[in-house]
Amino acid sequence: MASRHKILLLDDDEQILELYQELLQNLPSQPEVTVSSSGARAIALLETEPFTLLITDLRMPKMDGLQVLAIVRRKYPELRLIVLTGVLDEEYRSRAYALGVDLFWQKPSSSEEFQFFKDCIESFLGRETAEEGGFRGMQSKSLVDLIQLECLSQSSTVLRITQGGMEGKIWLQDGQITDAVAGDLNGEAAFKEILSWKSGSFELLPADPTHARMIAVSSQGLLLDSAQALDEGRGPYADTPGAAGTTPAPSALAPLVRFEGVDFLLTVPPSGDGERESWGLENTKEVSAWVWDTQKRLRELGDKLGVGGLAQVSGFGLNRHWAFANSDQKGLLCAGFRRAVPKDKVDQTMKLMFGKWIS
Amino acid sequence: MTKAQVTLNAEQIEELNQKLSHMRHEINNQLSLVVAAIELISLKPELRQKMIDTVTQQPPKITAEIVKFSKEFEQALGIMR
Repeated sequence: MASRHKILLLDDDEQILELYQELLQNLPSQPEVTVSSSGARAIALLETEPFTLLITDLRMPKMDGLQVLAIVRRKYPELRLIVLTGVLDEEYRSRAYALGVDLFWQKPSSSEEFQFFKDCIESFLGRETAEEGGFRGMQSKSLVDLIQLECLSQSSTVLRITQGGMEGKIWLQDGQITDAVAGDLNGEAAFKEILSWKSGSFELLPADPTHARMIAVSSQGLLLDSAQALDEGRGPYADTPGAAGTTPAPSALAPLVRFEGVDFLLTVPPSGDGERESWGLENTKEVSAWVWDTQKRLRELGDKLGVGGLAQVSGFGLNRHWAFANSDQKGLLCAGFRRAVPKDKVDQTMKLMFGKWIS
Repeated sequence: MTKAQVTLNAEQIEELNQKLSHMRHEINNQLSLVVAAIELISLKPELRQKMIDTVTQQPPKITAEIVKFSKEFEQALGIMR
């Protein structure tokens, strides 16, 4: 795109306008920055020329920021909106997001925050170009986008997400995802579960700084993992860092990947040696050795007890469930399941998958 | 200072809270001006003198905001000095 991005900056404080205009103009992408100290004038400006981005304060005399946003959102769905306010206020923030605001920032009051702010605007402008013809003007953002924006703006909040009868919560503290709960899941597993919900509604609750941090990994990494898992589009239990972003499943396993809640897949040939196939596993060698050894011992035990051949074994762990089943012709099929999958569902899914695999 | 107990009704508390929120908003505005001005000095050294002026204007404004709120607070609580 040859033309420069145009930013309209709205604030009732002239000094802020002057300084931020200068600063924004000096961003690497060198946007053109127009300023306005009143909402009415900003709207008039928007009518005369196209802008990429509107950055506005919320508390202003006469027409307040929310009013401007409401008008602008309706009239110019393509315009990106950033709120830049003096103080983060949960009520305002929820209302601004409800109006389809792209980003909610507190005016940076430290050099570090300022750097974040600049990076953020810059990546925003960059993204705009990249997404040309894509999802521009989309008002309802995905949950991933929303959380990403909250992280970028170093927010502290508690997000409550409801979908059908399910409820999930995500804790954010200073832009870091600190914990999540969803049903009986918590921490990372819950976070990924919530992100896999395709629809639902959310609300922002006041921050809860005393809430213990249960998620230690970086928020960016977590979001990336989850976004990748979502891109794979593997049903409601889809996720797991192991499976996310790995190569596509080998052909024999491909039909099985679609089963709900499957975390990893592994096959071991009847001899216990030779070509193993796996999907979503990093330590194929160790797991296949363990599966082989386990089935051997269980078979011996079965023989001793005289209870017949080994059909299927399931195990339920704190982090994941697994199951394997044996076919004399094809060998072993082992599958990992997400912890959220109910136990009877593990048995059932395993039977279905095994049936599909040997057929 | 009075020794008598002071009771505030919900409305008064809400009013004070509004004023406090206003003060936070203003102070953050002024602090963000300081940060922005310092950023600009490193970006555009030629604006140095102007930015230094901007920075030095902020502390009195911050003080004024705090004084203003303190007065309103004292008034609401009937504190006399």
